[in-house]
Amino acid sequence: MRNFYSFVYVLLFVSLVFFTTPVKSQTLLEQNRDHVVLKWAPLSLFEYYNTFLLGVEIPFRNPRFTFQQELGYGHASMSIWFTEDEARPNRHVVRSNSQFRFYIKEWKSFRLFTAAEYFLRRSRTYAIEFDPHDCEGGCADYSGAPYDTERIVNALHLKFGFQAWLSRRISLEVYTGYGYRTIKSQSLTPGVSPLWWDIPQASLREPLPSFAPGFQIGLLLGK
Amino acid sequence: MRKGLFILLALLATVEIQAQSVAEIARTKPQIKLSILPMFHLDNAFMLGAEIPMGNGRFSLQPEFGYGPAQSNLWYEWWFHDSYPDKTTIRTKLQFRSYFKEGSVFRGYYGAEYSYLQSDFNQDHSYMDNGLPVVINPLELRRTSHAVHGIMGWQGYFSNRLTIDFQFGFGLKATENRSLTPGIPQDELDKIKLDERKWLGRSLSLGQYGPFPSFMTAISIGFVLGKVN
Repeated sequence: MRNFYSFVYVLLFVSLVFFTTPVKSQTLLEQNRDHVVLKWAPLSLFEYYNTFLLGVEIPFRNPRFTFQQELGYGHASMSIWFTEDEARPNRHVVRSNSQFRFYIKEWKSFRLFTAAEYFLRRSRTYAIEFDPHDCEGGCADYSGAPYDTERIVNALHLKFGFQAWLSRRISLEVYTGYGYRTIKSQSLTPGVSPLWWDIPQASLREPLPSFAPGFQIGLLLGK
Repeated sequence: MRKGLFILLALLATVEIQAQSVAEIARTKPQIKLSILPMFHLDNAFMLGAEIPMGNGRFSLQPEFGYGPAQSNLWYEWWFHDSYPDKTTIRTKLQFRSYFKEGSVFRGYYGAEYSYLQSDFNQDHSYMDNGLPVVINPLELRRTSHAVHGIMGWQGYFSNRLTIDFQFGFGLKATENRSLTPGIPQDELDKIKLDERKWLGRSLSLGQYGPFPSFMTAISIGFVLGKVN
């Protein structure tokens, strides 16, 4: 009988060792925060100036400071903001977001950040033609006179958001940004100045207030 | 008493709970699917499908077929509109899924799908040809649309028989509106409009459109087939 009791005690001890989760030496965030993270912002596909936007977040030696660079490219043929009847312009968009981040507060797999961001977007539209169906007389002068234009947006944002690690490699970030932007339109065709409908904000006082919310999915790179 | 307690404790600590979760039950079993949203679309269809698991439930293939007449279209009910067009819709869809996450009451997946839509219209058209009236009755028109989407989705389990799917996708869609009635001159074809309500920037004129980017969402109710304990 004594043998049996000692057997039960050993069994209890072994099961305690196996079924009690060991205290982790490192949290998920501590494992991940000195790695480079690949970022994707899905919402930028659905903007009027649609882009496929990818970025990398690179931590500094002190991982509470990071630098994030995003680059995006898109064409108007992939914009969701045109109807089937509309002619799509030949418009190429290139954009860049450069961010310097500071993580204010950190938990086990979650942290809050604030960031300063510089945003640049250049969209070039080639060979706009006046649609002669839209006007009666007078428009004939414009039709068949293609010209190329460029629209440049510069903005500075102060961003707030959080980064949450959903699994070992996948993170989710949600943020909002507030700041100012300037918009400039110019002609790429020599001797032709951009027409008034290409400079929608020309009469407004600049810089304009700017609001940039969004979310990103991150993939941890490296081992 | 003491002995019994020790044995009970030892049993509790060592024996794993053997019950199968609803997600595990559904994983390897086929399901009948009813797609909800096409019933409320302008191209309405009652759409049934089946989810067929492959690779021990890691992947699955889901074909769907739907049919719908305009008589059962919500958007032509009396409180919206006083009449309905002569229109019938056929939809098919083939979806491939790869499950990447399994909880006890849900599974997450990504995948790809191809979907096809065909709407057939019968309507009248008349025009003057050399001073003589030409009446085409019926004029047969057809809209076809082909779409490819990458999808992300989530399958939840109400019980071990009843499931629900939420998914969304982004991809490309190409549409063609054409006349099946031969012998109509081109300038008359240009005037023909499909007898239909406007819907999300869709064109009612004959022609080819796209491929354009397209966004889709789907909700479906599933019923797990096979033996469930």
